Amino acid sequence: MIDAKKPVKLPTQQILPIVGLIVGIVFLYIGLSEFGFWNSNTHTPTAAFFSTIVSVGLIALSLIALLQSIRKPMEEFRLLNWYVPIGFLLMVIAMMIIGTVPAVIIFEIIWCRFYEKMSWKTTIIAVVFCLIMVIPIFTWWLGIDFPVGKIGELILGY
Amino acid sequence: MENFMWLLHGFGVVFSLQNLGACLLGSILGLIVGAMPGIGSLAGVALLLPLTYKFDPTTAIIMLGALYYSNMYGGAFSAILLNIPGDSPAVLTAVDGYPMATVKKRPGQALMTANASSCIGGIVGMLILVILGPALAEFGLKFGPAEMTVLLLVAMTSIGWLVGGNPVQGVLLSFIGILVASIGMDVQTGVPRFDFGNIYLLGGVEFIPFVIGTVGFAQLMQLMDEKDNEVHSVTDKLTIRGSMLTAHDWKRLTPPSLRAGFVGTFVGVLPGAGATAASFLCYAMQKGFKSEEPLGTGAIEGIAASESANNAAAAGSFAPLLALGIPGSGTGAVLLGGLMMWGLNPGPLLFTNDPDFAWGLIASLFISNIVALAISLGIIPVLLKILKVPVRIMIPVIMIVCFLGAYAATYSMFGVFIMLISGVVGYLFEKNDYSTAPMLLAFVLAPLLEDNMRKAFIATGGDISEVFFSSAIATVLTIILIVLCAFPIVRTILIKTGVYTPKKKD
Amino acid sequence: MKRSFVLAVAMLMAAAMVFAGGSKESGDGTFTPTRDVTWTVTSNPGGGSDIFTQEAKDAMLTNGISDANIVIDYVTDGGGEVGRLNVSRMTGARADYNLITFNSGDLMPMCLNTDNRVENFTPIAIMAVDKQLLFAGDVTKYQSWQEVLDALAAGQRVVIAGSKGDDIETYNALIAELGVDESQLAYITNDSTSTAITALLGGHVDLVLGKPAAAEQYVLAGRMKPILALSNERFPTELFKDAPTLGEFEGYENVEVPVWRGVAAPKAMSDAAADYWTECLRQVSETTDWQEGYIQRNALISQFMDRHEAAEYMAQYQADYLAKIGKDA
Repeated sequence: MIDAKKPVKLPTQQILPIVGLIVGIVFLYIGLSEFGFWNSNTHTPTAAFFSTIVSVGLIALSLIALLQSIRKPMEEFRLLNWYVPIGFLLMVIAMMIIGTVPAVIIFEIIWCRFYEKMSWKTTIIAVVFCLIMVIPIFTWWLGIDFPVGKIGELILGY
Repeated sequence: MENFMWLLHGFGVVFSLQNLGACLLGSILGLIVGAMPGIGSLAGVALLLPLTYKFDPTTAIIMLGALYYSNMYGGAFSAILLNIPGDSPAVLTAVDGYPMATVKKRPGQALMTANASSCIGGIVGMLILVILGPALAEFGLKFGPAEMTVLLLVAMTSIGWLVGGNPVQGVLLSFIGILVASIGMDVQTGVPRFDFGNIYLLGGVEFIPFVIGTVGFAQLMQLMDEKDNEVHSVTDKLTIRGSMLTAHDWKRLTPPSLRAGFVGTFVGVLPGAGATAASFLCYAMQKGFKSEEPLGTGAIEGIAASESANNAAAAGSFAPLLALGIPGSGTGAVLLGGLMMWGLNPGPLLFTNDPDFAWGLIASLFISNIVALAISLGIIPVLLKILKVPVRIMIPVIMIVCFLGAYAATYSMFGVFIMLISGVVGYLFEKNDYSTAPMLLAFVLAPLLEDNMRKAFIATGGDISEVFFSSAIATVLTIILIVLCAFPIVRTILIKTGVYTPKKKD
Repeated sequence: MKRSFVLAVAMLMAAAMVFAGGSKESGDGTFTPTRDVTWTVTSNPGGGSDIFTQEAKDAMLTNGISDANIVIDYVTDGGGEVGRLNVSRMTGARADYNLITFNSGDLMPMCLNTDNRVENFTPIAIMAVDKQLLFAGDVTKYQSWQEVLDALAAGQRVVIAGSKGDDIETYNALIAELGVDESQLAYITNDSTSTAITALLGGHVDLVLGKPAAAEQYVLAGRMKPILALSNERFPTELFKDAPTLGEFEGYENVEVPVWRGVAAPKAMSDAAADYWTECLRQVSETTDWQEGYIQRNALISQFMDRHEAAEYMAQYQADYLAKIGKDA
């Protein structure tokens, strides 16, 4: 069994400025190579004029931030926090296969009942609340069509 | 004074049972739509437009006006209680509202503050609308691309006030925000840029999923740390009585509300700016004034500035709509479509040809402001029950709410993935002490700035000096910009040389 | 517990079907809408496409042609490409309930910037042909086309504001005929004509290029004045008839880039639904509301093509355009 609360140390204080640096270089490169900076024929800025200025600034700031971060300690990360995006992603994938409504129900049941070990009563209240949001409010009233999933499409003959 | 006579006349038009009923219904629906994440006033008004065909035009527009207007109230609810802004103008309401509700344990007061300052901002906006009338719209026209460019540069300096502890990191993240916002079709040259060949990226990164991610979803990831050791202490104050604002609270919220109401109205009048930009600007402006607690930690002043500004801007945007037929926002545009549907001709002649209608609408805004306030105060005790729910149940439920909001804002899974990615990235940055608020400001303002700057360059043939000094307004704004940029530098020099010694802050 | 699980899933599947289902074609192969219809417009409200859509929808409603509840949805992301892509990809029952306003000004950028083609849609109808004019504002420098020509001859810089798409094509045809380059007669692209008009009313640009519908109210109020008709003959309507064509000025030919306005639907729309909508629009094009309130008032040319003619016409237009820009079909 993995201990979700066990901290893992990562040098994100150094990684994030590097990410900024990469983003800056990518936008600078694409911008200048595809569009250039200034159109000297029409005396007007190109599509990359603004982004070029900003990416140069970003590269400079990233370098400064990287220097500042050298002495910063590693950050502690715990798997526990990542249950949120991981669970969410699994739910979204499920939606695309079995449809929004079943995926929401299964997700709430797994999370509330099996992960958080709440009572069935609480679980069902959570499920019902979510379904009220999905079906009468968003689908019927606000007219949003949520994905019915591959299986739903087969059933509905889409 | 003539305008006040017309306003009285407008009240005369509105005061019929049918119109008041429409106003009431519009306000209630607006509050609900506003509180739903992802559904902005635009979608709300568009959805209800067909319902109003059978009404007489005045009744119909009163209902839609009330809906649009009370939407701004509703957006604050989910922002304060769940940290998920119901609509983009409410982003900054979440920044102070959520800590005030949870950390400071004053959820009732947070909601009250939001509602009271919405009301103040709205009234200020409407009074300006009535006093200046069509002249307000003409004022907005004075802001062309050059003026807007300098104004937005001034606004961008407020990023400096929002960055918090580490300015380098704050600005770094803002720049990333600007680059992300530049993804998509370039309107000026009609070419796709930074889309990496992806058709969805061609449409750009939508603001609402982005915000739900960086604000709401990132918060959920953090909450996982606290869900098991939660102590309940908010429960005893969850009544209307326990939610009342003290005299001291009123003293704190009134000045920022009035200020933001005034500035917000004028921002609402400007072409293309809208309520979101208004609330960001006034919040940043509040940073420049004294607040009893630091903004971002649950300060009443922060909620007041943001909420007052967005309601004032909503009122202000009616000026170009009614006087010139120019919609200041998407919502205004749908209202405009409604006007045409009922056989009215929106345009410069509306005030002259259909004064009953135009002034009736303005009068109805006053009434819907009061109605929306009354309803929201009434439902505060009900809303507060949400906070009684333990965090560990809230987490999976709010995850669904995040999904619904992100999906509804884009009608596609693309928005959901944007939300998820910005949530994870936002969490990582927050955890490393990068503040995300300035990034959101940059994300909203940078595309406006770029668009106007490029237009200004085309109009002047690439002459920078002409952009900054093309008119009296631009020149004044340029001077303000220079002063704002020079001030911190001069101050540092004075301190370093010992000419000036700052008072110690505690 | 396993059983309750299965049961719950099964029930929800059933529920999903109930709320996601819509009308199916009835037995005799005809189609009647039973749920809300979304009509996508890919430019900002207040512009020409929007007015076209509003008027068509209005005529359908007031003349009892269709009692479907039509909701107009503005999807301007990515210069409209996202809206077009979404509609083209819609499937299932939903496809029968989606329409999109589709003009030559939408087709051209779509072919230029994306791989989306007219074949990915079901064309429903072509309704009208539209043309543009140039307008001066009440506070702008040049009050007649002659003044503009003089200014250009004197080497002055003149700035035109307009919308995207077909307006840009007309602008390109205009500078080609005038023999000036885009730094001298510059063009500012806006999301819609209404934004361009805002800039003109404030005196921030010299001229606006736009179609009559978007400008009518401002001309009526004396805030804008038509100074050049981009057409082979003058506009027949009272408001616009004083604007000369370019051919009336010595040494120039007329410039005209006609814009067709049409309606399309997802490729997956059923034949029965496509027949229904093309019939609705045919009836719209015959109403007095449409002919007088839209076509005549805005100086358009009424030209109805049903879905088969429209499909052929649009495909040909696309082939010609692709050849012109050197892209394969």
